Amino acid sequence: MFNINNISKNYGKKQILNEISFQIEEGTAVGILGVNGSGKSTLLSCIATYYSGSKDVNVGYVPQENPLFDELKPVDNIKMWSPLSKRDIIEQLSNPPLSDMGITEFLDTPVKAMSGGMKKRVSLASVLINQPSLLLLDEPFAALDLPAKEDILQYMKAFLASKGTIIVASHDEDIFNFCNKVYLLKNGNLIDTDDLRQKGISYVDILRS
Amino acid sequence: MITLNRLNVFFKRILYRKTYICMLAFLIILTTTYKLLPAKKQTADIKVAIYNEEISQYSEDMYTCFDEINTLYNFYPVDSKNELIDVVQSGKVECGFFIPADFYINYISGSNDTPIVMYNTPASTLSSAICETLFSCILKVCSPDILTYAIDATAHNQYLMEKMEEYINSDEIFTLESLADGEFSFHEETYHINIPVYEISIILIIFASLLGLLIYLQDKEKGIFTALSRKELHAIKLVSIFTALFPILVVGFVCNIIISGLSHSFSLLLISLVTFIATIISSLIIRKSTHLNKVLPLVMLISIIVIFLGTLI
Amino acid sequence: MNNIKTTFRLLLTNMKRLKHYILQIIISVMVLLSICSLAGYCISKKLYEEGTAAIVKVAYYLPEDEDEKFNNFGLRIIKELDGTKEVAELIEVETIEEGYELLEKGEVLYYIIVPEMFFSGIMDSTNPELTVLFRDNTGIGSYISNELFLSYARYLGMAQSGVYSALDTLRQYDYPASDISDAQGNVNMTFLDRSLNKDSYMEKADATEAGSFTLIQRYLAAALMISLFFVSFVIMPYLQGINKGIRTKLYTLSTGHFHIFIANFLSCIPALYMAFVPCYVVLSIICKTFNPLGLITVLPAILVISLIINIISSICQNEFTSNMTILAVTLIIAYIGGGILPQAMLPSGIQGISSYIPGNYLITTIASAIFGA
Repeated sequence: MFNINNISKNYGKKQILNEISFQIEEGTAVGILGVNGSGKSTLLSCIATYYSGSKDVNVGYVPQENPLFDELKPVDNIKMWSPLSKRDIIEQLSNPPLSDMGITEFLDTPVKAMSGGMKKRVSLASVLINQPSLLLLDEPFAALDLPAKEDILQYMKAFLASKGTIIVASHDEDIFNFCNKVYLLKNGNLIDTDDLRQKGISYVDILRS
Repeated sequence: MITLNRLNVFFKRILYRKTYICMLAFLIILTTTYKLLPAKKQTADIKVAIYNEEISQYSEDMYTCFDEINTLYNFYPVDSKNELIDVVQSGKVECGFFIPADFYINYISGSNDTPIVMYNTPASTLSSAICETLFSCILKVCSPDILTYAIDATAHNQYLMEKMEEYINSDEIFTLESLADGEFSFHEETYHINIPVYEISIILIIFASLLGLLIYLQDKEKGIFTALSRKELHAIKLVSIFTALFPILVVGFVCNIIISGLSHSFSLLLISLVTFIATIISSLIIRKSTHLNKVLPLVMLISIIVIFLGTLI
Repeated sequence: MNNIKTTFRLLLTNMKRLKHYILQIIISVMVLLSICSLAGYCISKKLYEEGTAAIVKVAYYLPEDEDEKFNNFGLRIIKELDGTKEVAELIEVETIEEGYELLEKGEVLYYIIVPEMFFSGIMDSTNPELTVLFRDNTGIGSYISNELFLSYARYLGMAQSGVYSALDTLRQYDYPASDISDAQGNVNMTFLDRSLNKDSYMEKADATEAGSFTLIQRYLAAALMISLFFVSFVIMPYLQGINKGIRTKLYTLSTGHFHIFIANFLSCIPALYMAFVPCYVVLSIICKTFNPLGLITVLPAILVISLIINIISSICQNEFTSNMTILAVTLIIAYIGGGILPQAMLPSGIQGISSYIPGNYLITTIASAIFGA
C-alpha cells in the first residue's frame, strides 16, 4: 500500500494542490483526470519528489515532455537515469520484459531522428530499467498515433502484471478504462469518480461538471 | 484587404516584442543624448607624453621651461612607463619620452649610460622635430652644470653659474623671436561628441530584417501557414520582413535627419532597400530557423566590423 | 548525495553530448578568429594616421665672406639634424633677389638671409641680425618650422651663454690666456656635443613593439577572446539542450537550477578549451612563439568565459535571445577591455570602470598564454 499524505503546492498566491492525501494498493493503476491547468503534472512531480529520497519505494517518473537529449543515442540517454553500465543496459533491453519495447532495433539512432512513439518508448525504458515499484506517467499518450498508444498500453499492463503500481495523469479515456481507480483533480482537491461512473456519467461529463 | 489585415497583424506582433522596442528606444536615446549634451572644446595641439623615472629639480625645471617658451607641443607627464607606451601605441600622443633615473647627471657629464628612450609609431612624423624642442629645454636646464663640468674652475663655480644665469636671461645672446603669430588657432576646437547614430541605424536595420525572416521561419515551422498556397507564403514572407524593417527605418531616418540633416538619410533608405532584397535572397538559402539562429549572430558581427571599419577607413 | 550523484551523471552525459559538436566548434572558432584578427589588424593600422605636417620648403642665402668655413660648417650641421630632415627642405639661393622671387611665387614658405660675418658675430657677441621672411605664418607647417628654428636658436644661445660666462669668469679671476683659450674650446665642444649629438643621449624605440605586448599581439588576443565567446553560438543548443522533461525529472531528484548550471559550466570548459587549442597552435606558428605553459595559464580565462556564457544561457529562455545577448555582452566586454580600441583611447569614464569588467584581464591572460608573460 502506498500512502500519499498532505501534498500541497501553490504558485504564488494560487493554490494548486490542497493537502491531497490518498492511498494506492500495490499492483493497481490509478488515473488522475482533470482539465488543462488543474495541476495533474504538478501532483505527479510532487509524488515523485515525495518518494525520491525513500529507500522503501523505488519510483520511476516519466514527464510529459520526453526527458531525452536529442544528440545522444538511446543507451546514453538511459545511462543518464540509471547506474548500470552500457553492456548491462543493452543486456536488459534485449531481455524480457524490456525486449518487448523493441529499443534494440534503433540503438544506433540518435533521439532527434526518432518518431514520437520511439521517443516515448526510450523514456519509458529509461525508467523501467531501474525496476521501479511505483511508476508515474504524465500524459503518456500525448502526440502518439494509435499503434504507439496501443504499445504503451501493453507495456503498462505488463508492468502491472509484474506487481508494479502505476499513477497516470491523462486526458485519454482508454487509459481510464484500464485503470482500477480514477480520481478527478479539481480546484486542488482529489475526488473519487467511482460513484459518478456507477451512475453512468461519462468522463467528459465528469470533467464538465 | 487581407494583405492590409496581415500588415496590421505583423506590425502589432513586431512592436510587441521587447527586443524590438529596445532597439527603437536605443536609437531615440542616442539621438536625444547627442542633442542634449553640450558641444565640447578640445585642444587640437600635438601631445607628447613624458615619464621621468626620478623626480628632481631638473625635471621640474624642464616643465617650467616648456611653459616659458610657450611651445607648440603639449608635453604632459604620465605616471609609469607602461602608461607611456600605451598612450603612444594607441596613437593618442605623437611620441613619448622615457627619461630614466640619473639621466640628467649623466647628460651633464657627457655619459650615455642612461639614455632617454623615445617611443614613436610608424605614423609619427614629428618625433625628431619634437626631440629638438625637448633637448633645447634639457640643455637650458642643465647648462649651468654642464658649464661647470666643462671648465675645471671649482673654486669659482658659483660665480660661473651666476654669470650663466645672467647671460641666459639677457639680450646679449642669440635669440629668435617667434614668427608664428598668424591666424592659425591650434588651441581650441569645438565639437559635438561623435555618436555613431548612422552606423547603429544600419546595424539595427540589418538585424531587424533578419529578425523578420526568423519570425516567418519560426511560424512556418509551427505549421501556422500550412494551409496557404506558395504564392501566399511568399507574400507572407515579404510582409514579415517588411514590417520588421519599416519601423526601425522610419525611426532611424528621423534620427539621422535630426543629427546630420539629409546627408545620411537617403543613403539609409538605399541601404534598407539593399538589406530587404538581400534578406529575401538569403531566405532562398536559409530555410530553417535553427540555421538562421546560428547564422544571425555571425552576420551581425561581420556587419558591425565592416560598418565600423568603414568609418575608420 | 542524491543530487550530487545526479549532477555528476549529468556532467558525464554532457561530456558525451559534446562529441557531437567538436567539429563545428573548431571550424567556427577558426573562421571567427580569422575575421576578428583581420578586423583588429585593420584597426591597428588605422590608429596611426598620417602626420599633421608636410615638408616645408625653406630658402637660404649664405654670403661669401671670411666666415665661409663657419657658414658651411653651420649649414652642414643644420642639414644633418634629424629635426630639419623631418620638417624642412633647404634650398640654397645664389642671390638675395632669387630668394625673394621664390618667396613671391610661393615656391618656398620661408626665406632666411644670413648676414655677413654672422658666425663671427655670434662668437664676439655682436650678434648681427638674421633676416627670416615668410610667406604665410598661419598654417600648422609654419608653426612647426617656427618651433624648430626656436629650438636651434636656444642651442646657439646656450652655447653662447656658456662661452661668454666662461670667458668672463676666467678673466675675472686672472686665468692665463692659454687656459682661457682651452676653456673656450672645451665649452664650445661640450655644448656642441650636448646639443647636436643627441643620438648619444637618446635611443629610439617603436612603441608598437614595446610594452608587455605589442599592439598586434593584443589585437590577436582580443580576437581569440571574442572568438571563444562566439563559440557559444554553436554550442547553445548543447547548453540549452536540457529540456523541460529532463529538468522536471532532475527537480524531483533535488537537482535544481544551480546543479544544472554547475554541470553546464563544467562541461562548457572542455568545449572552450578544444576551441582554444587549435587557435593557440595556429597563432604560435604564425607569430613564431612557443609557450607550452600557456596551455595551462589560459585556464582561468576559459573559466571566466565559460561562467559568463553559462550565466547568459541560464537566464535567457531561448537560443535566439541567448545568442543576441552574448553578441552584445561580448562586444561590450571587448570594447571596455581595450580589444577594439586601445584602452588609452577610451573615454576616461570607461577607463575607470574597465578594471571591474573582465575584458582587459581576459585579453592579457590569453596574450600571456600565447606570447609568454
